[in-house]
Amino acid sequence: MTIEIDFIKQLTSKKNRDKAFVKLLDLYQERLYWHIRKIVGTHENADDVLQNTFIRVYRSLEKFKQQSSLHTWMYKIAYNESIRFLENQKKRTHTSINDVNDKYLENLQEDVFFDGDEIQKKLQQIISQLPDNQKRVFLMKYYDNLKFKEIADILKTKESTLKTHYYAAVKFIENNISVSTYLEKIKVI
Amino acid sequence: MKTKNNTFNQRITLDMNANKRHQKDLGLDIPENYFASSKKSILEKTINQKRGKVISLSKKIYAWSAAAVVLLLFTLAIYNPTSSGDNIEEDVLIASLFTEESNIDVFLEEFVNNELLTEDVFKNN
Repeated sequence: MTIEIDFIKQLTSKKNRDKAFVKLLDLYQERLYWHIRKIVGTHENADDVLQNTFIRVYRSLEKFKQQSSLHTWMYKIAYNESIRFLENQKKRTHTSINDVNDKYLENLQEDVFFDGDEIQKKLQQIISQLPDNQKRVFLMKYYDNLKFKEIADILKTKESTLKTHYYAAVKFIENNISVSTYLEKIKVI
Repeated sequence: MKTKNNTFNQRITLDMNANKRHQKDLGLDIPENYFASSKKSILEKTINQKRGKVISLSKKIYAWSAAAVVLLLFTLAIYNPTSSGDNIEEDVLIASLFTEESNIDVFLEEFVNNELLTEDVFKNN
């Protein structure tokens, strides 16, 4: 019996669920936080969405059908919660998606937990200029280390389409960033 | 199976440097001890809250069940032509054993106001 299957059994059994949930929280708290933070922008927003994500995970454990891996399932919930948050924010403030992107940069620079230097700000600006579909794939692939197959499952898109978006995003960043040595250093290209 | 297992093990050890990566590349930072406090808060809203809720929910169910018994007995007693006055008293007495006195008082007051003291009653008077 594999470790993952064993772990899922614990998560879905009433007797062991709570103990297994604590382990799940330890495993995924940080990586989901960063995944969410890159979508919603500020630390404060990311904190709210992270809490909602784990509450939803906990309530949905019984319904986990193993149609996707546990890893993908966790990211899928975090992604959906982040998008739900952005949509609610958009409704509350009556803003378009472009305004949300502008607000993201504005929030980021005002966020006390953004500690970026000029190069990091520049990179953030360029990433925020990417079309939504390219940006999502780029962030998930490069920063979250997700595989194309997993991203396809989360975003419900074909792998081939995602690859096209990813390489278009890399090309866009390559053409727009002025400090090419920085890209070389972080090996985006 | 083997591949799935290996993938899971890799996942556990993967992204150990996620903090550094996000801070270095994107300049994103987090408050000190954030993950510890966030973990505590999440557990309070999930595991710990669930434990608390079970008690309160069962209490609520008990109270509502008792109220439902009283309502049923009252309805049967009032609208059943074969029922005698003694039976009503007996039914209420039995029902009262299943609930607290304060609950009965509140329930009876609401029941009398909402169900018995209708506009028709006042018109007839």
